[in-house]
Amino acid sequence: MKSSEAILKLMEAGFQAESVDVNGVGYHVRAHVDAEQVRSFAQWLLAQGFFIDFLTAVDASPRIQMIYQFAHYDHPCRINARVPLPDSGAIDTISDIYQGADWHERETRDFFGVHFSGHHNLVPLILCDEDKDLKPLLKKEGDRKSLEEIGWADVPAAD
Amino acid sequence: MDTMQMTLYDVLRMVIAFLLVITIVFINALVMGYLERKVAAKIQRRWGPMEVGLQGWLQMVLDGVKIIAKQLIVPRDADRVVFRVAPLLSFTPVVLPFLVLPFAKNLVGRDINLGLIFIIAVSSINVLSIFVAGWASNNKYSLFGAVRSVSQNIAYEIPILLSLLSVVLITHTYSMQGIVAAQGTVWFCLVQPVACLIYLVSATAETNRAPFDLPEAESELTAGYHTEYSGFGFSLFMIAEYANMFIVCAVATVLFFGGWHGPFSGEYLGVLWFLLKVFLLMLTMIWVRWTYPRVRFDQLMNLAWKYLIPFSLVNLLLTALIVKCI
Amino acid sequence: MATKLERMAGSKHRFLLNMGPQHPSTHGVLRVVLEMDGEYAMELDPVLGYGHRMHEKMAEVRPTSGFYPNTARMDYLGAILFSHGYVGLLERMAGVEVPERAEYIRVITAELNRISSHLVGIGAYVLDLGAFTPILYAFDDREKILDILEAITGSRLTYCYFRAGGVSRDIDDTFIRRTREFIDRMRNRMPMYHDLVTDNIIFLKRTKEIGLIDRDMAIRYGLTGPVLRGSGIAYDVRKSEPYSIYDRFDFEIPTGENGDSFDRYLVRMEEIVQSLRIIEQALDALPDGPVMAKTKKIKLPAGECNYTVEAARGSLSYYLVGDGSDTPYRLKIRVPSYANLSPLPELCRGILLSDLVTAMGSLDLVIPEIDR
Repeated sequence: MKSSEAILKLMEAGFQAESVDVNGVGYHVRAHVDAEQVRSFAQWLLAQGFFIDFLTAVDASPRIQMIYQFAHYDHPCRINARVPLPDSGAIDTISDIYQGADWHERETRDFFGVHFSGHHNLVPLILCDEDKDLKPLLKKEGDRKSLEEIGWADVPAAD
Repeated sequence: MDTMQMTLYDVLRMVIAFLLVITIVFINALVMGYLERKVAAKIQRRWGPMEVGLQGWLQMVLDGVKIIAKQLIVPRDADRVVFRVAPLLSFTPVVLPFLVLPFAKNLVGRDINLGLIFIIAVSSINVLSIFVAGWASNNKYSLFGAVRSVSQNIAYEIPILLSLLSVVLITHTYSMQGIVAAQGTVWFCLVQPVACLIYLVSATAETNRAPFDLPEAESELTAGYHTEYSGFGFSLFMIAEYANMFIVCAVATVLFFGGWHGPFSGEYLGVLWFLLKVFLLMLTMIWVRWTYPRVRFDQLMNLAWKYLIPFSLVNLLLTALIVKCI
Repeated sequence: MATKLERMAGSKHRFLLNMGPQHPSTHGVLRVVLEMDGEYAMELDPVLGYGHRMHEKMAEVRPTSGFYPNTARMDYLGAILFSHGYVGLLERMAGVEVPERAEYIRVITAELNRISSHLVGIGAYVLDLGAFTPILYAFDDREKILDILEAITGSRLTYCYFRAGGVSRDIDDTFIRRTREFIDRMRNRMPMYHDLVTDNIIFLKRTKEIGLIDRDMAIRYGLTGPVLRGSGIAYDVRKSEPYSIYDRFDFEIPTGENGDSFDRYLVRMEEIVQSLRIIEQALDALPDGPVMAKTKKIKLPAGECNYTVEAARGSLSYYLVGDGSDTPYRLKIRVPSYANLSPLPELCRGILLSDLVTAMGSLDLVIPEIDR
């Protein structure tokens, strides 16, 4: 599937998507997905044969941004989705759709304290039990940048 | 004269034989340890021990000194008495068979008329020591090694016995000297090639050498039954392993490769031929060990029960028929 | 999956077995908690984090140039390949043009590093199966690569050679001569490896049909690298999203047929041959010129950027969010072994302990890379 085709299909499936310069940002398609859509987004990707590249988070004000990246074995098409974390600090798990997301979600819980609702085994993976609430990658109050400062202001923050 | 009454000569002979045997066992471990390391090094294109003595020949002696100086650590939850007894238990049975091995025409501790049976019976105790060691360590990996060892040794005793029996059918004697004497003209490895092959394969498994070293498979079971052993406890296992190798190779030499027979063997010089043959066989075992990967456990058992035992049975039957007809 | 014993006795006789963190076959400080039924591993739970150093946090507190050495300390066997991703990311973000000669040098050293990594992978794998000798042969060949790379990079394992804008030192004629010698040597050695390992009946019996991975499983777990290509999927970042100058070289993506442990081994062997081809072509086409672009201090613009390369064990992604300073705001490193290890519980459920070692070894794991 070419990236243009992927965008069309994403639109058909009810997701926002745009083509980006692959030489500039290193992926082909940027998808705009809401926190509620994450599971249906993942299901759509699995049906299309995308594999999970990684899942992580970035701490910014006003809220943590979740990053999902998927790629395809047969076509150069890398899809990146940034999902603002809802104020509850919890987002639906995709670890039952993509089993590979299991560890990524546990790691994100370790580093950012993000809760993945529905995850079957959300225990510390990388950090030890004593440090499970350390959240080392959360920024200190003064260091946390706003979305504008890290170049993400063009996308409206979903509520 | 009453045969049961021991003369001074007999007692003296037994004492000397026993001392010699203990010496042989330890020297054999030294020589084999050195050979194994050197041969492995040559196979792997490295030097091996080079530092102490010419070509590092003192290395094993110094290692022995070091190992004796080490503390014997007994794990907290281990069965202390049994844990300490196990290495001795592995050492004892490998000493006894040396008493009946015919090193040369006149060089044998005691040529009893059931020599072969004696060796088989005594060396079977070895598996008990491995099981005791694995059990007493109170370590799951050790227990795995012990369990593997028991099933492996029981499975491979059978083809060993059957293949040896097919030789005995020809010689009509269990006496080691008698079997050697029967090979004056032609070695039994030519008369009984199948039995010889089966024996060599089974012997490798019986001594827990690679590719059948499952009881101590270090990539699976860390070190198997001797995981918890340190110091001299560990080295007794190693000495026993090398002595065991010597015994199975000596038995192979006696039964299939003409024992001490060879040019200029005479009354005593046959010992050179005997040792040469034994060490060639042991070198082959070392060579195999450093070449092949380890088989899996079910494959090992399949080999014994599905191939070696049926083949040795058929071989025994054919031998019996032929002997009967002739 | 229930064994015969289990159907007879229920699951009461199961027991826990700790494999690692100091076990010979876990290649470092990985711990796998096994629920055993006799010699069958019924449930597996990998425990990570024993070698965790928080590289991602380190990246956030120092200028980009201070992170060069860290990249080598994740995958210590494929250090240059990890640096390649990082400098590529910085260049893409800061818009640095890399001189032609530097790109060629990068490809040559990276492929040499890939070969050395695969040699360790294969050697250690066969060692897991109980054969001691092949790993020393592999280390013998790897030694030649380490010598070659040491002469230009100054280190033998954790190379810090690539910089944003080029490489730190030019290569000389000695390097080229020794590399060409190595290519000849390695080509002559390949048949020996096949004789010693590939055609070995015990090796075949141990690895065939063990640890089967299919396409569905690969997608769900995000597998990449030789682990994936063993299953017949020709996905290689060097081909699908060519970075650096990989689109100029003629090479193939070796793939397996069945997706078992043996195929993964064979793919690694073939990749060594392909890497030799790439190195040879790069040496033939090596242009003259500078090896370092004239760059100012690198400033990362605000915004995100992703850079994916093919590391020795699979697809490696660096994902960076910049805030206009010279320090990354967030750096995510997607390491291939992390994804490649994650299917282990599904891959090895209900198989023998020996097969578990076979399957786990065929994933060619580097634990410090997983723990980061």
